[in-house]
Amino acid sequence: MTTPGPQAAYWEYVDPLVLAAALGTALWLIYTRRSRRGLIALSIFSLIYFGFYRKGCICSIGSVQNLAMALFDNGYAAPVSAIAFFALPVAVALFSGRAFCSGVCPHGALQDLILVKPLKVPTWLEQGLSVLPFIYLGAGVLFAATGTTFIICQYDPFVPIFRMSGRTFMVLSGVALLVLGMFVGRPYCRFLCPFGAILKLAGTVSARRVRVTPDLCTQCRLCEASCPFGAMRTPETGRPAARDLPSERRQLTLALMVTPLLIFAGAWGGLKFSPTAAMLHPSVNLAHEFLANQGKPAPTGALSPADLELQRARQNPRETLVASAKVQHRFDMGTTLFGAWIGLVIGAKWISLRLRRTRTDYEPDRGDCVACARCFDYCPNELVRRGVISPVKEPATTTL
Amino acid sequence: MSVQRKKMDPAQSWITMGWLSGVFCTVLGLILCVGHIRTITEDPFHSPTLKELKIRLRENPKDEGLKVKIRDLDLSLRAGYFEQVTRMNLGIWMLLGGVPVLIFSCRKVMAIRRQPPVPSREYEPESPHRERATSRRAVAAMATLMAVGLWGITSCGVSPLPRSEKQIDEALATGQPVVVEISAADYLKSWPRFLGPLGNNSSPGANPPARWETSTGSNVLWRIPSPSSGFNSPIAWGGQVFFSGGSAAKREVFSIDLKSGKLMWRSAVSAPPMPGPATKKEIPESTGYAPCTTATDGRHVFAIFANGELAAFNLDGSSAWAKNLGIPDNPYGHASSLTTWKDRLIVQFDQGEPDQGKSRLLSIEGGTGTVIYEKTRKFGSSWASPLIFESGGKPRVCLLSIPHAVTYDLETGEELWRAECLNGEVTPSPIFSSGTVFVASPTDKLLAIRPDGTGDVTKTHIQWSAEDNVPDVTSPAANDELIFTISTSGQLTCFDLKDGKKQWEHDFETEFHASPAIAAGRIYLFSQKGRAIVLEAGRQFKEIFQTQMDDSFHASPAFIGDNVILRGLTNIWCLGSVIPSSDGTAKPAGKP
Repeated sequence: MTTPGPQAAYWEYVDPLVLAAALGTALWLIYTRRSRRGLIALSIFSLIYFGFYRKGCICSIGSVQNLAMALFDNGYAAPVSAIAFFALPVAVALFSGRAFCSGVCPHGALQDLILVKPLKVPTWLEQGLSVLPFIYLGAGVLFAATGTTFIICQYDPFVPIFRMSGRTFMVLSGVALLVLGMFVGRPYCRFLCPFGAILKLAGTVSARRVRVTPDLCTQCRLCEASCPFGAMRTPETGRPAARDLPSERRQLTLALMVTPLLIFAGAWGGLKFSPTAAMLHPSVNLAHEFLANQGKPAPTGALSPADLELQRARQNPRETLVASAKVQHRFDMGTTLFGAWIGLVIGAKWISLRLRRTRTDYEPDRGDCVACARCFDYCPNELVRRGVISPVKEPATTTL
Repeated sequence: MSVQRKKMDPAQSWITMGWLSGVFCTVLGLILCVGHIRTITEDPFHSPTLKELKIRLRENPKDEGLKVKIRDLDLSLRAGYFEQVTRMNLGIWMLLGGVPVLIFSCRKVMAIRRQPPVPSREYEPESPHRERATSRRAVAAMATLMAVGLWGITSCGVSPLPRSEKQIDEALATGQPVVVEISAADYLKSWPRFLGPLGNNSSPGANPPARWETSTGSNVLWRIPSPSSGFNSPIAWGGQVFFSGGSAAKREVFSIDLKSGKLMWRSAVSAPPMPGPATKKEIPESTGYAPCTTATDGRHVFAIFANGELAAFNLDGSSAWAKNLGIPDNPYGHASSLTTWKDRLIVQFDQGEPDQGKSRLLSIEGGTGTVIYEKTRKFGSSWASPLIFESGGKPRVCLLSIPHAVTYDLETGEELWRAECLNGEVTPSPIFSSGTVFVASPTDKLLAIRPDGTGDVTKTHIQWSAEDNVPDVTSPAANDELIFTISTSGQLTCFDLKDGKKQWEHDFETEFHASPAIAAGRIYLFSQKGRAIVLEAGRQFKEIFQTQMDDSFHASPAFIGDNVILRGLTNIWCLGSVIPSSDGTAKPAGKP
């Protein structure tokens, strides 16, 4: 399921060109036209082209793994399309936020279009689940870098829908996520998407950001509940009350000190996880099967691929075990780093939830906002700009 | 009286459409789910009834009624499966039509009923901080959950695998049979295939007896009755002699202990039947089921039969794999022997007419039976065996089939050169000696071809040709200076390897089907009527020994150590005065 059929070589260049054009269109619709309708049209196009027509491959979400594998495996070169599908959305996010998520990503487009009655996810749950994409990203990089498998592609819930075939479990997962997505905005993007995690980081430092109002925020609060994806942020006072200041400083210091401990604990736990994770690698699994079947007679008749693998292992037992040992050592390093990454993600999240920010306006969070343009319609200033309503005239003052 | 018209809900039509499409999608979704489960359970590959019937057929392979039942069930299962898949595809497309209608209707209803945003209460600037406090607890809970999950996965009991050299050695030492590394020396001191280790019907290290006496048993180490019929020649590796035999009822491979002559094992071939309807092709009696000589890579012994069954056995007789290439379309029956290169098995499977494209060259992974490549050859039937040699440090395989000798890159199967030089029904196999390929066009010409060409080398690389007493069945034998041929009528001829000049000839006036073989500077000949002749392999004709044996020889001899292995129509013979050890080397009889 993860490997699409062979295709003409020119697609490697056509797809990135279409992606670049779609990203340019998205930026124009978000920042110049500020058009929700335009983004819906773009979403439908992306869903049809990148989703159903190109069958979800190549996609930016999986391209992370191509790059990870290319970095760690000398025998693998990432295709041009994979590099472009990774770099273009990230570059755009660094300068202008998550335009890719707004209507270019077929996964996001699909979820956006089916959203019927969005329910608010409690903030605590949203924040708790928000670490998952980063951990999933770490796992995807780990298994790709070790040459094990592309788990992000293998467990992509929407690819079976785009291809209209797949394993039962994944088809059902896709359908379940779509049903959930009718009431919870973009559940995959917010709580699972590993590429979304990268774009979130890039979007946080982006030079340009999506604003609810084209003009000054009047703090009318009409946009307060406009975002179905929990990205709208309310004004805050950055400084706590004087009596709370020492306590908050203490707790922030504690969080800063605990984070390295979390990283070390994660690294230790990751190392312990290594033998189990390594079993997913074909070489290690083959060595395991070989040792488990030692002394048993070879199967006869029509051999399955697994039988053939076992037969090969029996031809070269030392080679099989040496290959397995090499992979296991690679996994030791990989899972240690993966565990440390989990510790870092938890620690960083913990610290970020300790920080106070100064915010005067209602504005979408730079990292979380997927630039869907829904909030624009809630702003009276935007409606005035479009000519939907007239500006409120100041009552005339009379002088005696 | 005024009739007040009830005000129509503007969302009502969208609600109705939403309900209709919702019911449509739900029913269709349920049908698709049931259909999907059916495609899994009724997959023809996993049908329990079909499996059971196939097991029963293995027990009773001649049960024609059962075969018909299996075919009918298989056909109906496949038809049902593909009908179901077609229905599923139609259903998916219908669902893809229904879901957007449902979503669109729902969104329309929601848009119509959407209330203007009304901030519910006064904003509290401190509320985000309170939410963050709850969020921190949620993140902590998430971290705990993950730690517990990872701990659970880690402690689920994955058995430790060896990581260091020492651990690998220990793992291999327990329960795993020691894998013998195969060296070139092992190959040279054995007779692993038809034409011997060098591909020229000679053994570089063997020193078989120059004389023996069947009546007294002098220099006859053992003889045993042949356990099965077959014209294939014996091969020898380590302490074992291999050959095959068979009939329509059973095809087998045999292993004889080189030391004692005892049957070590006999294993029947259990190749799966060919897919598709059974073909009724006759296997000619004159050739039989087992004319093809077996081959070994030192770890397995391979055998092919005239009905297309190809099998590999481990050296302990257990089956490694078996497959069916289909009954070849060959008027005299398939007779090309197998050969090996490293861990690969090479199969020349020529058949039919040249324009039919039925002929194939296969390279197969010896341990698993996986086909590495399969090249179609535009040639007709052939009875010669493939020759493996090295040219320019690269492995090559030469195949004969009218009218060409064709050489391929052994690793890739790409054709390198061809020479148009063959007539008649090609039975003698090509041989390789002193960097030259020698090819016998039956009763026509003996040709020497330089093997470093590309493309058509007919006019450029044929070094010489000779026309005296060219054999039509047997293959030549050569040492570094001379090449010997024997015709079916018994004309033994010696040529100079370099220029093809005839050195001498001698007519033995008896029929030969077994190829001559050279060891210890002597030529060994075994006739159809049991005459055994030993001569000096030199530029002068010099007979050393001649005797009459109580057998008929169609198969060529095999040399191993100080022994000659012969396969007669009635007996298997081992000539030699010393008892061979299990590694193929020999020691004098009676001494420890």
